Amino acid sequence: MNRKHETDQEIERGKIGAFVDWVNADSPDIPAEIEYEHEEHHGEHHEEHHEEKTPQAQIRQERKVVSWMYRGGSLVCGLLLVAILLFTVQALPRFGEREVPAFNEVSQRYLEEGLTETGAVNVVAGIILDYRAFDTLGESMVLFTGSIAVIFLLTQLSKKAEGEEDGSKKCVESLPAQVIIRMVFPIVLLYGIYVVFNGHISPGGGFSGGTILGAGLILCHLAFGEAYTSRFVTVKRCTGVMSVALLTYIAMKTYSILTGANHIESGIPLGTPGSIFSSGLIFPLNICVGLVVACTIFAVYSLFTNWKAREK
Amino acid sequence: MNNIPFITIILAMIGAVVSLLIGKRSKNAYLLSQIITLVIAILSLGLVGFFVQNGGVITYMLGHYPAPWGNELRFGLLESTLALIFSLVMFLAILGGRKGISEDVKEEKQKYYFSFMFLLLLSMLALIYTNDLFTAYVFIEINTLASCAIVMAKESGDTLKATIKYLVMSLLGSGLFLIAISLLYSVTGHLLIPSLQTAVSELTATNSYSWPLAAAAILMTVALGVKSAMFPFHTWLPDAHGTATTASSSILSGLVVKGYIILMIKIFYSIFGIETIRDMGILTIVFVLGIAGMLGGSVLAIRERNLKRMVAYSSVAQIGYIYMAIGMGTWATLAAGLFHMVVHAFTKPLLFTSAGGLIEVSGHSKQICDLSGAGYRNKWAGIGFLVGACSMVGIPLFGGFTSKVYLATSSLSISYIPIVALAISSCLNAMYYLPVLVRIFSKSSESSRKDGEMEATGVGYGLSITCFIAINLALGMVGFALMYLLAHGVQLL
Repeated sequence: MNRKHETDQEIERGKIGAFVDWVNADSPDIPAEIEYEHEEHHGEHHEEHHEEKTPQAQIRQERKVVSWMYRGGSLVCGLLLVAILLFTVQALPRFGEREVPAFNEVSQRYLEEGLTETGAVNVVAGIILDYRAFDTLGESMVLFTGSIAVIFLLTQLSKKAEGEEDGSKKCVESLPAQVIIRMVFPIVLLYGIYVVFNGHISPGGGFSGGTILGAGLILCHLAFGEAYTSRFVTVKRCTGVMSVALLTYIAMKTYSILTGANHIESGIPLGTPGSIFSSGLIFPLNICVGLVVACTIFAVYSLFTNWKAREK
Repeated sequence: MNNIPFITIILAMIGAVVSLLIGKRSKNAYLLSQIITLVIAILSLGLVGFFVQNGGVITYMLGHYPAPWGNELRFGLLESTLALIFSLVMFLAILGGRKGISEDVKEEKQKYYFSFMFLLLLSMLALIYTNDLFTAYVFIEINTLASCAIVMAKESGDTLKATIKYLVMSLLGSGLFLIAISLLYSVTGHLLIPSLQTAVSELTATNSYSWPLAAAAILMTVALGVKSAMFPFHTWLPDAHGTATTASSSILSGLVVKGYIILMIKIFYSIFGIETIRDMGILTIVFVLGIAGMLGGSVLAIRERNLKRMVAYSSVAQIGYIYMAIGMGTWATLAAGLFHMVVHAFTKPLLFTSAGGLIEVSGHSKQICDLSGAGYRNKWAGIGFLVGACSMVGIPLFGGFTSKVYLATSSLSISYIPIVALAISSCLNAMYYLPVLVRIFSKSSESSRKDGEMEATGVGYGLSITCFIAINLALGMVGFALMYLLAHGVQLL
């Protein structure tokens, strides 16, 4: 594209010299990483940044133009996409009406047979942990992937500063907050456990209960600092608990999927719907999911806060 | 036999978790990953054998509830062949990249790295086998996160920048894909692929909801195009593949982008039906973008003087070949495109593994001009790069030649454009691979560097390169065997 600004070197040697160098794969006068700032969208724009080096002001000018072009272009693209999607939504069947295509035999069976087939009063729990359990297994793996990716990225940073470790510094240090959280913390935990344990009977379940548990731990961490919470929960323990919970989850689901696929009775009693020990595997599965979610939330939070505190 | 796909997926899942628990010494996690990947490959081989004998397709009920209510896997010759190839490439890439991993990733963090490898393998197996669009989305998420994680594993400034770029573009793709799924669900009421197929064909027959259907198809194409580095959306690829550690680069370019292409083929053929896609004009666009990628990727690779980035840009061109083949929309071209995909899956890891070796013996400089004589200092890497380059250029006896012949013959009856594009692109390929080959095998006098002495490479490295070369030669000489599997497999889509 724009080849006006060649390096002085290249002008001296001329085109043929440059060509010979290129055949010999020589003369790395182009810094390899120069293109980072601008090559957001289109491959063709790469070529602009290779040979322009000499007059700084002109480059700056050009970069400005290019960056404005990018901004304008992305704005136009984004607005266009929004317009198309809004237009598409207009053409969709109206939400909540009886005649929509989504109201078909699939949801009908979930609603009509869900209780007798899964034993779960909470149909949502029945769907995600029994009918479509494989999807939920994948979803738990997504959480696992996300949390170990964060742990992978941030662990080293928190280790580096281990010398000046002084956990109490990082808490809020406000007495009212500490008093209130001291009172609220057990209740939050208890409520989280309740939501997890009653996932198959009432609205809630592993995902929401786990979030409550994780939020309780975060509250504690906020008020009393890492020195206090690390007595009973650390990132390392979170990883351990998460792994064990996931392995249990995988083992249970492998059993039920293998028996189901080979048309063998699973032999797990469904119990009376509505009591706490009912609905077969959904109850233990909810506990596993709850543990995974709580550990993920707490591990990600504590890694991010530690990292921030040490950057200062 | 029909339990094998589920068992392979679960094995990879267990491996991902267990490698964290036993990975205090990275060697354990490494051994675990190699053993389980090999077991998966052997099981998949058994499955391929079963389907060669019996043919047909198996649907596998995941749990106690039949398909539209529960989840389902569906597999035949094509799926099992691809699973075999993916696990094999994974095994060889980790084997060859082991040294690079232990240099680039800190010892106590390697257990996470191997866990990510398991997660990638697991998500790709699930993407191949699944018969449910939403399951596909769940595993796309795992794939996205894990592939970003293995790019950043090196933890240098470059890789972090590349990861952020990759993450943003990849998440854009995921978001578009999710929007497309919800559009499709609200007009059809299904997520299972066969039910979707009947619902979509009814809708197109009555010509109702044509706008949301077209929007869903386009969004899915764009979403998977971004994730698999279709030409104008490829900008994340050279950064991500060019800066990551060797094993990551091999797996990202050899496998990860391929998983999305397979999903796109499934969507085109099994959900919408290829004729509907053709009527929407999407096939033409895919075809044109494929050709643009073939030429543009090669031109960009010529400009590159950083070896790994050059090889990465070459991936853009090779993915263009695959999209061109898909865009012609016949069974023959589809099979040829899949064949090229397999060849690329075996060749690009070879090139990256060799490039890693060449860079290592040249004082860790990625610039091509610093590589003088590197082919003599690390003979395995030199030979590997030679074979890989010959295959990508399309020299007879190597895999790339066979795939280009298949591409050309299958497109003869359709148009002359693909053949012209193939010819130009092959010349361009030669133009950037030849200078590197000349450079790494030239014994220039000033190349007597301090670090220039021969470096001992492990047995694993040599073994990995040897296997890749052998497979490449096999694909070049008896490629028709694989073509038989693929051509019979695609008929059952």
